Amino acid sequence: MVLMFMSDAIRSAPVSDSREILLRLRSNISHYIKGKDDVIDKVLICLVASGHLLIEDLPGLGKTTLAYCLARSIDASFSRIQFTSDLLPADVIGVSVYDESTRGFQFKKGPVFANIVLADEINRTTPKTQSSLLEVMDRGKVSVDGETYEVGSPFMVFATQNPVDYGGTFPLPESQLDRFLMRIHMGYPGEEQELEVLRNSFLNYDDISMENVVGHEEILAVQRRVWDVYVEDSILEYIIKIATATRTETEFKAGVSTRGSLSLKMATQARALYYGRDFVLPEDVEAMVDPVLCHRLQLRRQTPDPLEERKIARNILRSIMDSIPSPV
Amino acid sequence: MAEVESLHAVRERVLPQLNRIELHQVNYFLGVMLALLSLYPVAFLDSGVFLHYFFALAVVGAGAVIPRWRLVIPAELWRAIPLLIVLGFLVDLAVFAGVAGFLDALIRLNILLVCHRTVAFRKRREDPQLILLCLFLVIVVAVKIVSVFFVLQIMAFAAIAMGLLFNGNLLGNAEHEEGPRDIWEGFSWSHFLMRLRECADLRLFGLAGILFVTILSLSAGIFLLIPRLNLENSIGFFGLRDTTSVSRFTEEVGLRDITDIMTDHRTALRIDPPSRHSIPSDPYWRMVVLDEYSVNRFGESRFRISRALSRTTRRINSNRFSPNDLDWEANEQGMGPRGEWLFYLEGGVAQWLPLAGDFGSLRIRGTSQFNNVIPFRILSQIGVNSQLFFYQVSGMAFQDRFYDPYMSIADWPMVSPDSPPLPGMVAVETEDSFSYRSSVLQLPQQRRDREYLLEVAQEISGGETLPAEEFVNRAIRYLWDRHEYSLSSSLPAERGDPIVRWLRNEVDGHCEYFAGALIMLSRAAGYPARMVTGFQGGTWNHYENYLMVRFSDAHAWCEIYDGNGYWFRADPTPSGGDELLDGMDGDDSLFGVRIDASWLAFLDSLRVQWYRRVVSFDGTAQTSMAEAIRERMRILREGTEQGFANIGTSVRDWLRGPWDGPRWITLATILLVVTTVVFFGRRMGWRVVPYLVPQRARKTLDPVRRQAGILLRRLERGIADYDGDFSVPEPELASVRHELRVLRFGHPEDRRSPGKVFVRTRILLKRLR
Repeated sequence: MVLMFMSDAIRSAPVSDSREILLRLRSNISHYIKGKDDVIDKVLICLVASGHLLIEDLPGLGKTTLAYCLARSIDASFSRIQFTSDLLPADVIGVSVYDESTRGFQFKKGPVFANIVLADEINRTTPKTQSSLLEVMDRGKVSVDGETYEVGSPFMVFATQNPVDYGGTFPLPESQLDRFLMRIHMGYPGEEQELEVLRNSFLNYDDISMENVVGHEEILAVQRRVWDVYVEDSILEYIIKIATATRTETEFKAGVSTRGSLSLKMATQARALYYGRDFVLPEDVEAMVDPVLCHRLQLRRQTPDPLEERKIARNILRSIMDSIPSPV
Repeated sequence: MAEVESLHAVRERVLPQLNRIELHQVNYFLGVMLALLSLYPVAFLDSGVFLHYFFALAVVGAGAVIPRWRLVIPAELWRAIPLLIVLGFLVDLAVFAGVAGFLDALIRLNILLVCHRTVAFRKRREDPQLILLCLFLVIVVAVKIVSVFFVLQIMAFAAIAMGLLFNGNLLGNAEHEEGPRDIWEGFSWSHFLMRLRECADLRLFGLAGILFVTILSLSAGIFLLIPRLNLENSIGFFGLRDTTSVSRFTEEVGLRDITDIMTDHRTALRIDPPSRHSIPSDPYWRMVVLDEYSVNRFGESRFRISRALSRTTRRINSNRFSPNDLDWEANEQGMGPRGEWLFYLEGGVAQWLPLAGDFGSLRIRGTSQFNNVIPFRILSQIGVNSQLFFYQVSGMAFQDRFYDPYMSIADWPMVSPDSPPLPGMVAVETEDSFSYRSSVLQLPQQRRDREYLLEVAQEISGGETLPAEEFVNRAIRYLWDRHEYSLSSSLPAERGDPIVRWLRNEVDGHCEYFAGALIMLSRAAGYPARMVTGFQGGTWNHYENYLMVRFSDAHAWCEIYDGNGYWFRADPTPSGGDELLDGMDGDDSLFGVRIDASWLAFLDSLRVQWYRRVVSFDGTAQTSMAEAIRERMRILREGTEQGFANIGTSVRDWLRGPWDGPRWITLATILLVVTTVVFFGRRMGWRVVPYLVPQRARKTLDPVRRQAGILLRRLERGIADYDGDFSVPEPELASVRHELRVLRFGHPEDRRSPGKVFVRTRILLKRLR
């Protein structure tokens, strides 16, 4: 009961334009994705931070629908790439073909040229194809035959993977994982929420008729504002302490990279903005540590079950967080 | 591997720590600090250590500034140096110093060893060696120069030594011990200082500070408590003394007893006078007065305090008394000049208190019981102290005449030389006063002996009735003409009284024979006489400025009754300076005792230091020390103020003076120097300045953030602990909490009147309670 009502403080704070935009977006998505408010929050924070998202869960829990809903709610293009073992990089980023009429090669843009790209079952394809996403995820640009093409703006990769059925998959290399700002889990919906899903049943996301409620210009404006969110020195030190602790922790093969701590900082700024603040609180850091850092850490000892591995890593991270006093 | 290193680098950046090489360097510099600290006061010594001192200072200084030069010296030479130093010490001892200069030679040896241990490459186990060598130097020099600086020095010493040992522990036992080249090859001062600054941890300094202050206050507490709780007797070391073989003055003295005592060269009594000039040329410290004379069946003659005097002996129980309290009637000479005399009587010497004469008051610590023998003016404790016993006497007089009311009670039958001795004089214990008076006239029991004595007395006086002083003078001359002083007396084996035999045979003798003979001759001539034992003279301790009275200063002399109520001192022993005969030089009488500056005197002074500085440092002394410090501080402050005022005046005068050519040149020179310093300082980036301040100390939370953080924590705890209805409206709580968060974590520009927010928070906190 203690601090339950304190979340009102966020609402009572002066709501900025960004806040209003994001709330609009949120209510639109939650209209179709029932009972997953916290997941929607994280997705939106990731969007605000200009990051990419890796969603892990079993098939049929609404990963694709979520991505689709997000794309539809924004006035943004959406494309879906179904990753398979025989998919080639050209299938993702596009290919230059000879045009008879111009007597030259012309670049045919691949599905990656969209605002929201759903990379479904990303671990089913070969590392070669997986790496084709590296540059575009980093810079928002594609280089083909010496030419550089910009992808959509805003640009967000929504990758999904199934952590249970690992047969014949190619687990994402660390360099690739590091490019994702967050890794989240959908989880099963609650009974009530599932009941509601059943009542308004539709099976394919194509059946969803959504209106875009936010223009992509607005999203870009929000993304730009993230940089202005103030991070006090003690918060930065807190982030450094956490990163250092993961580096000295013997259970982990390696600690968090600098991109990791930078990502954590970005995520906290985005979260602050998402909740209508222009400064970061320690609780932002605490909330973002798990989704931002967990997938960047690999255990030194091998575990046969990937789910088990994620659980152990999360517990270690939690104990690290417990050992570091938050700056108040 | 590369990954591990990079991780290490990352960790190093966030939580920098000194590596092993740097810890070795710190260890070396701590050693240098320790050595310089211990060497510093050697400069104040007035003995011949200057050459060694400057050499050591130069070597250690060079080692501190440029540590790398030490790599040039081959390892074999480093190993040979201590051997050379010890050889040098032996040569020093044999050729220059001798036994008297042993201490100086030892200091010279110590300086060189400290120098070597500091500069040579130390292993971890050799750190304690350096600490011990430095400690020895510090203590010996401090004892020699006796300075308040010692307190500060030992405090700093303790801190550095603790740091050195702690640092040594950090180094631990490595599998691979770093060699001198590993440690010093790449040493640079700027890098070393930068690393120190990076790794300086305020918490460590804070902890060390707390530890240091705790130890300091504990020591101060003990120092203040010692005089109040009589701790000195609980500390075994300071009461340590071999009491089994200690000679003792008793109330019965044979003809060899005092001479036996004299063979012991230890110090029996230490006297701390008000000033060096308070002591007369030849002081006599009276302890026991003996009147009765007897010869036992083994033919040994003895003097003792007659039992008749037990009636006049009183027991007193006090810790402070004056001669009036003791019923000692005033001498014509009266009490001495003002001033405090402190007597430290070793345990087991005697129960009698050595005194020179009358005094203003006598004070002892605690209450003690005394026997007061009024006619003799002597005091004895009940039982002999096994521990050192000290008492304070103010207004001590050095007297050679003592008033005795008991002798003047009745008319004294002066015995004429030709009349036979009165029979009653031999028989004692009839009537108190009479028997006392008879005991001081008592002669040997054998008629033959008595007749011989009467004969000699007759010969000395020449048949005249002389005043007592004149007779004694003549008697002493008589003795000196026939006897020489010697510590061993070869008395022929005959029958009869030993003193009479000694007189008859004209052999050499020591003080008991001379005193005994004078007493017997005086008594035979009809002058009452008694023997006094105690100490005569003493030597002046050069180190601590006090009088050392050794057992070898033990002496026996006589007091003769002058017939007018006074006993006067007569010392017939040839080496003794009898005032009646000895023509002492006027200048010497100001200070006639010998000065002792030997090694033994130094050892003896250590014991007195302990008593002076610690044990007898009672509340009054502490107060006076505090006042002295305050006075010193006042003088210092006034001096500083005066100094600044003088500078101000001279600057003003200078400004008012004529602005001529030389003046402009001076000004230009100063300007040039300042500009140069600033120019090069800027080029060097004022690199020195940041080294002085640890990096972490500079980065502190600004006060608003800190206060907001504290209040935020309290507010959230207050909400968490609060159960029950909220009498505080939620929106208000939420808004205050938000304001606090803005103040704590927000951008400084967003702050709006922090003071008001804090006040609101405090009001809310009260309401939450």
